[in-house]
Amino acid sequence: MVELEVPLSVFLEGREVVVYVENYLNKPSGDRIEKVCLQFLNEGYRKLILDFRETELVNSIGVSFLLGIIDACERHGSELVLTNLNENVFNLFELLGITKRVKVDFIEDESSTRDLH
Amino acid sequence: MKANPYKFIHTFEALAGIGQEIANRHSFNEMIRVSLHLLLGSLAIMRGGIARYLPKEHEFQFIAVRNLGDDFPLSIPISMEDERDLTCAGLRGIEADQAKLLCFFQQNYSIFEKKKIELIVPLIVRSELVGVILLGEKASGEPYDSTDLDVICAISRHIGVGIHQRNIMIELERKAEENRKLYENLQVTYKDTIKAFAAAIDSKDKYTEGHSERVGKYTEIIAEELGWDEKCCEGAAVAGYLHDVGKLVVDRSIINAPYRINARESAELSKHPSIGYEILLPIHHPFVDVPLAAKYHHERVDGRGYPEGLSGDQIPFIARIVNLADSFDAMTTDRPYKHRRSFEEVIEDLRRNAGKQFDPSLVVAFCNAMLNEFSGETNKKRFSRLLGKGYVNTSLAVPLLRKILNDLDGTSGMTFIAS
Ligand SMILES: [Fe+2]
Repeated sequence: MVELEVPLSVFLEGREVVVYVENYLNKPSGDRIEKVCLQFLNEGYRKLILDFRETELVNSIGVSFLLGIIDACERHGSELVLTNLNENVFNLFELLGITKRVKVDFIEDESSTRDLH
Repeated sequence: MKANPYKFIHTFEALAGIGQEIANRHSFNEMIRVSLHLLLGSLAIMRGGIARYLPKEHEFQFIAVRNLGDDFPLSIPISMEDERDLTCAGLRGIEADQAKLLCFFQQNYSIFEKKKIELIVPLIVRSELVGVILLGEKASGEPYDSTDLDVICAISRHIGVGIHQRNIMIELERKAEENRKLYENLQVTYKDTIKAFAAAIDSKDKYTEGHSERVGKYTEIIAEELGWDEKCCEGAAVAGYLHDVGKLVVDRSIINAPYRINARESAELSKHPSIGYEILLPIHHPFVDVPLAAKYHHERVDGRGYPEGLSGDQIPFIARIVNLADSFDAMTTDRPYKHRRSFEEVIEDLRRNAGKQFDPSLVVAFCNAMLNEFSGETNKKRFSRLLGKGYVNTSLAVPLLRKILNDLDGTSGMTFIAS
């Protein structure tokens, strides 16, 4: 069992884990989250859910760390899901083509929560 | 650039970030790692690496890689033709199809293909190849468009300048190290020259073999006792070594006279401080006071010395130190016309002459240094070595030195007794 305080992780049944992305996905938080995710993948977790509900902002370095997690999941044959993205973050990921590569479950919408898949 | 504010802001943020990274002075490798993140993150490029070019080794050495896997080679040799072709290509993205013409790309084709390397960007600064950036596929899977290539070039230019700056710094450091070594060698040469001079001076005087060297050492001891820094102490030693350099031009028969010399001879001999000054003045010494030590080492604080009859503070400090060291050695070594005096007599003489011939504060410093050694407070055996075995009876010397220091206590600041 991985014991790490930051970022917060919640373990689900069936080798699945939810990792909560910090408020600002940048170099320090990106570094932390990538390390944690790699650790889960090495321990054989089959599904990683990155929860962006707390995340206001993602910068270029943050994107790069996210790409590292995407690549690692692909190499390990594990599933990656991004969830609860705010509109700005979702738009950015969509513009960069990241949403074409990885599954996005929910985005937070002012009126309702859209299910994209 | 397509008028899409989000993408524009995101790219702009990456460009601003890279400028900052290059300007920041933290570790070079960290700067390159962050630059790679910025580059990949700005356009969502899945993988890539930044290498610097080592011209002597003819190879690219990777400083930062992302998502290229453990089997990716971290150094890639390149041919002279590659170097030329990349330099000619200039800073622009070369797509994999075109890049196949380059030898190193062909040689590494299988790994590049496996890692989906799609773009090669030579880093050229001032028409010089400083490195290369390899980029894999975009997250979207789409090919690079012209806007992407513009952004890549803009960021790559910054990275190239960063590597170039680093190269300049390494070169500067290498030159500084070279200079430091040269300077060290010069210092060794200087010290050897000083020793050779001292030996030459003493060789003129068959009765005072080693005199200059001993005066140098006593001078150094006093300087140390006064708390001077290492460089100044070394300089003080040099002043001691060379104080009698003027004797090189005084007739050998006068120096070696086995009797007390007459007035004419004495006048001839008394020129040696000024002659020494003339000899030493044009030489660049690491310690500026060396010529002054030679010129004034026969002055007395009571003003009855020569050549100028200066008194007290008028006499350069280094000359007062050398005077004490010189006299001490003269009294503690055999001369052609007299046997050396007992250590106790010499110490008494120092006390009696404190304020007359000698600066009292220096007598105190000198006696302190001796007391430290003879009372066993320090393990250095400098006086014992310089004075020879059996000369100093420590059971007599230690109480005597203590008494003298006690007597002189408070007098070291006294005004000099001018004649
Ligand atoms: Fe002299």
